[in-house]
Amino acid sequence: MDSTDKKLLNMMQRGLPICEFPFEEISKELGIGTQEVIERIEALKVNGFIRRIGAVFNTKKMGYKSVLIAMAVPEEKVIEAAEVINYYDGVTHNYLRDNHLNIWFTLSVRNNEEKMSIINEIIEKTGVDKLYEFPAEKHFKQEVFFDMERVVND
Amino acid sequence: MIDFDELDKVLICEIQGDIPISADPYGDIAQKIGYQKQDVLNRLKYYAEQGYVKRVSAVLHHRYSGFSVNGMFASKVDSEKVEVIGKKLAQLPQVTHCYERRTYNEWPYNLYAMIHGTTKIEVEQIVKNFSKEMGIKDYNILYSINEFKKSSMKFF
Repeated sequence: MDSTDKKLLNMMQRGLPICEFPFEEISKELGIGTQEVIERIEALKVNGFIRRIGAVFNTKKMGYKSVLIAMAVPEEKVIEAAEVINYYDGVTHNYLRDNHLNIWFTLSVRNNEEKMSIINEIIEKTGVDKLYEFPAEKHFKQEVFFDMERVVND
Repeated sequence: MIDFDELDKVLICEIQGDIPISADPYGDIAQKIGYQKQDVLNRLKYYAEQGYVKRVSAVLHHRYSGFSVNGMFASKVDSEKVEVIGKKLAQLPQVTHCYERRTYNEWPYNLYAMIHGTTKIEVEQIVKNFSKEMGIKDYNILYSINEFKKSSMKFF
């Protein structure tokens, strides 16, 4: 990864201009051709730096509410429980963490009924009887930006 | 929430995942879903103006991009101080998400932050300095051991 790639990644994280030819706009700013921008992005995708390039929605505005949920799953059942949880489209993040509350996932749902029905199914299928719901009471920050020009990993 | 029509549904389907990486990505999408490019662009601009779409951007695989350590800081902060401390915590560049959350008797942590770093030592140092400065005594850092799922929401 060279300095142009790093700049490109930073620009693309901040957002593409919403216009007819977004990659051309980026190419102008970087001082390289549009074709080169496209090739660089393809390479960054293939090499696993970019997960996706697309629209980032405001899920709340789209009519969903999200909740962070944690549960304590016995070690030998972790993989099985993760599969149960991952099944739901509303689960967008699911992590194993180093705590007795070891599985942490986010669930986005349209309403409380949908949430309760999913939670009850997870309880039934995993045999873990207690799920801790951690709704956000106040948002201080939600801003994912990894400064690639700070990292040295050529 | 707007009443989504047919164009909204097919368009959101196309942009909630990956858009084409091409000179004319919205022209390509319009062709694929059978609408005019101008209609597609107008809708997209509308979503952005109204705040349905925050931005069109790249989401990185932070694990492969040098930020391999992801620690969830969960701390116990006096409720009257949480506003001030939360805002300070949010200012740290390594913090991507910061929330006040519900507590339980057996889990009294109310202030959370996702901290991304290049090493565990870096994350620990950030937490140590911040906690010392703010007088936070009771906290946990929950490191991610395994990522079972990370996806974006599918609306349609």
